[in-house]
Amino acid sequence: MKRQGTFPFTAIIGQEDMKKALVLNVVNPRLGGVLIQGEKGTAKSTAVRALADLLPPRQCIQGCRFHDDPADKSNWCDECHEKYDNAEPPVEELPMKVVELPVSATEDRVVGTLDIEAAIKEGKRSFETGILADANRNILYVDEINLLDDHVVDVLLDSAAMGINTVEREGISYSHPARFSLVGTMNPEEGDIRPQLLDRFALSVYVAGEKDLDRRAEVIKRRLSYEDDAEAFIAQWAEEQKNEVHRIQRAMKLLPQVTTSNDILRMAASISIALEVDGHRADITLIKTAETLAAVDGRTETTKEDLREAARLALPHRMRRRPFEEQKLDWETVDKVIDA
Amino acid sequence: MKRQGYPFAAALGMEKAKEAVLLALVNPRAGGLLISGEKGTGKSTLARGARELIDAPWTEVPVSVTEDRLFGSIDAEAAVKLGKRKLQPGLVNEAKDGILYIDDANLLRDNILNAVLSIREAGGYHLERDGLSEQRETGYTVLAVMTPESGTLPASALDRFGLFVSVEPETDGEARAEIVRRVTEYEKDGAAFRAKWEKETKELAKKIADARALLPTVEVSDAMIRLSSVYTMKANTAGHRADIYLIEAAKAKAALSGRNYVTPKDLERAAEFVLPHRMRDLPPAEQPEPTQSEPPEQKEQQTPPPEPDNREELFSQPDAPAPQETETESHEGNQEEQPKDESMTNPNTSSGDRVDAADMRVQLPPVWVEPTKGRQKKSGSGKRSATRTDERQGRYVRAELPRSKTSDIAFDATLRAAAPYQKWREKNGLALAIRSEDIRSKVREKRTGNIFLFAVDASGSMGARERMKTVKGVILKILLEAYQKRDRVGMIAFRKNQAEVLLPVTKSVDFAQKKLATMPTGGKTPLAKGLEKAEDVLDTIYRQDPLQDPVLIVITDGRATTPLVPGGDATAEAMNEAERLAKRKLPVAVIDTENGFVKLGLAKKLAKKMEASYFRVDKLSEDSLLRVWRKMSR
Repeated sequence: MKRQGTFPFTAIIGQEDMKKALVLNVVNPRLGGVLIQGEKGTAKSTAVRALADLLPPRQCIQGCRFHDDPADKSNWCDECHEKYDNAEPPVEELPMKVVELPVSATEDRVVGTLDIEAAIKEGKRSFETGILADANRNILYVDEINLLDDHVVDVLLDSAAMGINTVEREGISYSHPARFSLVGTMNPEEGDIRPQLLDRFALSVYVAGEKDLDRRAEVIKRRLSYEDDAEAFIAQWAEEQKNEVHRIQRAMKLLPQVTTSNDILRMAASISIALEVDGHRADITLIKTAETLAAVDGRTETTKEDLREAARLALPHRMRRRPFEEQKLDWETVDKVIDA
Repeated sequence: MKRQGYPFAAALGMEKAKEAVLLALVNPRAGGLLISGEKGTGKSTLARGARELIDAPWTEVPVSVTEDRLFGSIDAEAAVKLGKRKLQPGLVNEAKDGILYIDDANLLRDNILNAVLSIREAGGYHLERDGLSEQRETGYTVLAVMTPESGTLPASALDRFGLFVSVEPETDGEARAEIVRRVTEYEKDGAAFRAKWEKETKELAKKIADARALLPTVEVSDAMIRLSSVYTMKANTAGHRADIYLIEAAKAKAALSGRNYVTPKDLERAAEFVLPHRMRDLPPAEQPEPTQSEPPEQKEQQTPPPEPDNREELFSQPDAPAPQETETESHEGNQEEQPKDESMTNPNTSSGDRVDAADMRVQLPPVWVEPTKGRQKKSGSGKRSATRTDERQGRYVRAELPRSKTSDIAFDATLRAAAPYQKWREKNGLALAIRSEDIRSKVREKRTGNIFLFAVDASGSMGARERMKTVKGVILKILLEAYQKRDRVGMIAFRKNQAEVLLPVTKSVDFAQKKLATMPTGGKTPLAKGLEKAEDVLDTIYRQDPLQDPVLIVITDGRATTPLVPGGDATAEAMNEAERLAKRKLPVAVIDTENGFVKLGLAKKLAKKMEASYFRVDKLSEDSLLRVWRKMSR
């Protein structure tokens, strides 16, 4: 059965924050992912799956199970080190992927385990990769991440922290690179997410159903037209999609050149201190987000406005929660620091 | 995979933590180090950076570790290729004379953590596996990191770390900006950043190597030993472990300063790392503790032992380092091949100057012993989870060697265990030869925690508004705290002529906040109706998941003023409902809010009828309510 093409990312109406946050993570794979919260039926999953069509190809070492980056030797797997430390690695271009982690995944499926076929046939203990291996240098997507079992969350936290998946199980001792952008979607009414996991997301956005009548009608119109004839609909958006891919690639090229002034760095620190957010991750994320925003905008210097925008995306889920209070970002404080 | 991490020397601030790491690296006898701190403080980055500072094996224990990899198992490849029975070393052997690193120590299963710590103390262990029996000596320094927010360590494990340091985030704006600068620089070009810090890294490594060489010559005078005892006695620590760790850490401190004798200053610095996690509070000041009476006819169903409610506090009352009891009886009915409990005495006992004798016995995890403190225990009452383990309830989360005869076989893990031997084994025409030692059983975990249902009197009696607000506060607090346990909470209010589900059972803070935005009070008290409603809700829960044991918490002064049927006896009806509820054999708590001069004691009577735990409070406060909740969560 031929798989129907996915709904084009650029055809999604509204949900600008969500789209922006996703694009930022494609432009900067080291940013740290995004958590998308919202009610059912707000195109959360559609957007993440549609993102796959915008993902740019990148250089990978040919035949590597973890699609190592030939240029990033410090994050090579053992096999690549063994083969190519003294030789030029063969390179192939592969597009970045959206790898899905099903909520029902078992621990061994996630981290990888003994290769049972090799064991039976040759009596050899070798490693069969899991989802985390696929996820290396890709986007790891968890739908309904708040329903994920605790032990899987533990494993995710473990490897997300250092970008390495260490497996010590069933006679297997293996570790490999596992750097991924974590993208999660959830409906907060179905339960909360563990704070430690929440903190791992660089950005968080809330999506709501479209309130404007005309736009709402347009959402439905597009959906119907897509369902009527997906191919024609996708063709109709091909140009728009191409432009978006182009914009992303341009931003990726620009990103390494983006710099941040000391003033902006200090501002980021002051915001975090004023808002009493935990740890240093907030400051670091603010700056990385601001730099990526500048790159998307075609600039090589971050501005106050980048920082303001970064605060909007990177801080809401880091506010401390208290009973009787909504978890809300104190905008006045942010503006006061930036405009001081 | 070799890690090219962020350099230790480039970690800004955290001076205390850095000093602690150096002490732990210089002297393995200082008992290892536990670093605690809120998320995002860079504690893991710092700890992992230590790898470059020392020329010794570095082994990491991931949270998904299985026991065979940790302790070693038979080497299948050698068995197949050479026909030899040989043990494949486990992580605890590979770490010999090196560092055993545990990230997120509080996420590691308690029994595994305890075994890792005990083996270190004893300097070895006895492995009984697959027909092989071996005595193995090993020794390593445990370096562990934890985030207290996601769960604490059992006191027994905490006490076994020689050193402890807590990391706070930097509060100075300029320093914070510098941290961001360094981290982003490192992320942009790791190799260049590492090169920039190479000189400092090398100097630190040399400092440690020099100190390690000097350490054996460092002398401790009698006066210093006496001084160390003064410190530990003042801190009211249990046992003598602290004294030893204190002296060893002080020796490391002296060696790092290039001295071969310990000064009072060394001891003072060392005490900052050795004492904080084992300091025992004096018993807390008398509090208006709710009285709890157990009706005599009550079963052991919900009688949690009256313990102080300080589980959530990290440092209060660490248990004495009593060796856990080996629970051999749980193995009865096992076949011969089943590994047995094994403990051993340290071959070095004679030297006797390291740890006290009680610590020489080694506990090995599940295969060999029953864990005394399982993770489940935190989320459910001991009794309930104990009866549950045999039922195939909960999701299959991992496999383990069966502790007793099991029918809940983890086929995937069993196949994997048997797979490497297939070329070698006699199959008698079968496709696969599986032996009893291959059998792995499923470990299941409940997906959800407990359900707490509050039934609250919202009638016009005094303080109804205040009472409702208190309950709301507690519900939100429970939900905020419930990420780990995934507890769910619901609330029923009864007033006027009706009982209303104000909050359907939920685990969402957002949802609770919305639902409890307004809470009407006033009117008379239809107590029977409230209890009836509670039964309805419990019924629904039962239909959804018959294995759930929801906990009902009734907050009332026991007075009923509105009958179910006009003209009925409201109090008698309430008592009838209570009796019906008792038949469910569910854990119930009655919180008696009756006050004033004339006390009718109706709530107590009601509790008796319901076979409930009874708590009396003069004034309902969030604290007293949370205390009851904690008691009921066990």
